[in-house]
Amino acid sequence: MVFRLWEAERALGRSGEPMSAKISRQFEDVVLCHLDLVYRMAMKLSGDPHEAEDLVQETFLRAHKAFARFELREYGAKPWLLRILHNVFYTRCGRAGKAPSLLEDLSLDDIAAELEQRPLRSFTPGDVDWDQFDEELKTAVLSLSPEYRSVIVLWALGDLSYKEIAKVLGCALGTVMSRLYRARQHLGDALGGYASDRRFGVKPETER
Amino acid sequence: MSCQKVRKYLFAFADSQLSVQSNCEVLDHLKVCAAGSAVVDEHQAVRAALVSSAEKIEAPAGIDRRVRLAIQTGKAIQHREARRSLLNDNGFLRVVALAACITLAVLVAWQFAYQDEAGAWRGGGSGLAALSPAAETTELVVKRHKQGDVLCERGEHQDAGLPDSLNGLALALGREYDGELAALAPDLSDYGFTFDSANFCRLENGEGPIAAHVVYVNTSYGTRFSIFSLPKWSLINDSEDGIEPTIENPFIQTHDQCNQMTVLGWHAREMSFVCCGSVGAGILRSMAQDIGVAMGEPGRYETLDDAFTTLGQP
Repeated sequence: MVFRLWEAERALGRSGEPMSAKISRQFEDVVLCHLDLVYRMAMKLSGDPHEAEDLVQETFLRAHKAFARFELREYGAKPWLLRILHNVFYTRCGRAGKAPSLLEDLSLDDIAAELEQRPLRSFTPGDVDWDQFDEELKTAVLSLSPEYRSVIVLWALGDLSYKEIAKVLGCALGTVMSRLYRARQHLGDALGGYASDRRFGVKPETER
Repeated sequence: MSCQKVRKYLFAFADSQLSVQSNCEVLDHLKVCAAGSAVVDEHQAVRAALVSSAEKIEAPAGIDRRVRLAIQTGKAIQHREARRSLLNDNGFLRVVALAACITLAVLVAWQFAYQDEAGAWRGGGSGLAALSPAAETTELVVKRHKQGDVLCERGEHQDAGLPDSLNGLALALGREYDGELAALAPDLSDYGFTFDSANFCRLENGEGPIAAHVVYVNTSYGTRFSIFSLPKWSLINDSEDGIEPTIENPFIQTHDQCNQMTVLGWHAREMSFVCCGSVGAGILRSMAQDIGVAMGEPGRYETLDDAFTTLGQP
C-alpha cells in the first residue's frame, strides 16, 4: 500500500486545487484583508491592545468557521465581519442576550426638538488642536456605554452607511440615527469639558 | 426647508446619507444658517478626529500570523496564554537566539566531552551516569534534529536533488528505498507547521541505515519539527520486553536535559518513523495518530505501478 501517494492525491484534489485551499484563498482575499481595520476598531472598543488582539482573533476565527455559509451580497464582507466583531465584543462585555440599557429610541422629530432646546456643544474646528485631544478622545470614547461606543466606532471608522451600520448592529435604521445622536451628544459633552479646561476656545452655540 | 425641518437631517447630511434632492435642500438652507452649518462642521470634525486617532493605531507585529494560527488550529490563543509562553513577537528573536546558543553549547559539549562517539553514548568515557537505552535513542534523535535545525537556520539543509515542497517529496524520498515507498512527508499545516526542507542523514552518528529527514517549521514560533523515515530501527523497541512500537502504542520519550523536546517513533511494515520537536507529548501523539490514520488506509494502491498509473507518473 502506498499511503503517501494517497496523501498526495488528497492534497491535490480532483480539480487540481484542494477545496480547502480555494476557500482559504477566498477567505484571504475577501475577509483577511480587513485585519488592520478590525484591529483598530477593536482597539477603539476595548481600549486595551491585548483585549483588542483577543477580539480580533476570535472575530476571524468565527468568520472562518462561518465563511462557508457566507454569501457576498450587496453589503460585502466588511459589514458581515464587523457584525461578528460587534457580537464578540458584546459577548465579552456580558451584554449578550440582554436588552440594551439605553433610553428609548428617538425619532427624527425628537432629535430636532432636542437640538433646538439643548444645542450640541460645538467647537469652531479651527480653534481646536485635535492632536492634543487624542488621549482625551480615546478616554471619551471609552467612557461611552458599549452600545454607544459601537455605533460611534462603526460610524467613524467603518466607512459604512447608516443602513449598513443597522445591519451590523442588528437594529432599525432609526435606532442607528438615535444612538448616533446620543453618542455624539455624550462625546461632545466630554470633549467640551476638556477643551474648556485647556482654553481651546470652545464657543457654546448661544454665544455665536 | 425650515430650520426645524432641516435640524432633523443635519447629521445624515453631514454623513452623506441623504438622497440627492434632500441633500440639495439642506445645502440650500445651510447657506443662510450659521447655526446649522456649525453643527455640521462639528459633526464632521469629530468624525475626522476619530479617524485620525485610529490611523495612529498600528496593529502589533505578528498579529497576522497569530490570526492565521488561530484559524489553522481552530482555537484563539488568548493573550494571557501567549504572555505566559515565549510567544510575543518581541521575544521571538530572543527565543531563536537562545535556542541557537543552547544548540551550539550542546554540540560543543558533545564534541569535547565525548571523544569516542562509539563509547561515549554509553557514558563510559565521560564520568556521567550511563543512559538508559530509551534515553540513548532519544539523544541520537534529538542530536540529529538539532543539527538539522542549525542547518535550516543557515538555509543549508535542503538537499538540492529533492523537491523543495511537499508535492512529490514523499515519492522522491521513497526512491531511496528499494522497492517500497516509505518516507513520510505529510501536511502538518493543521498543527501550524509548514514544510522547511528535506535531506538524508544517519541517526546513529554516521552509522546505521540512511534516514530521510523532513523538517517543518512552526509559522508562529519558529520552532522546528522533524520526521525521520528509515528502515526498521530496532533502537525504538522496548529494550526490556522487546515489544515493537506501533502507531497505537509508540515509543515516546522526553529528552532528559531538554524537557521541551519529545521524541516519538513507531514501526510500520518494514520502516520506522520517528518524530522529534518542541511539541508536548499529547499533541505529538495526536499528530502521529493523524499521520498513522493517513498511513493506514488499506488497499488504496496495491503496487507502485498502480499508484504511478493513477497519478500519471511515468
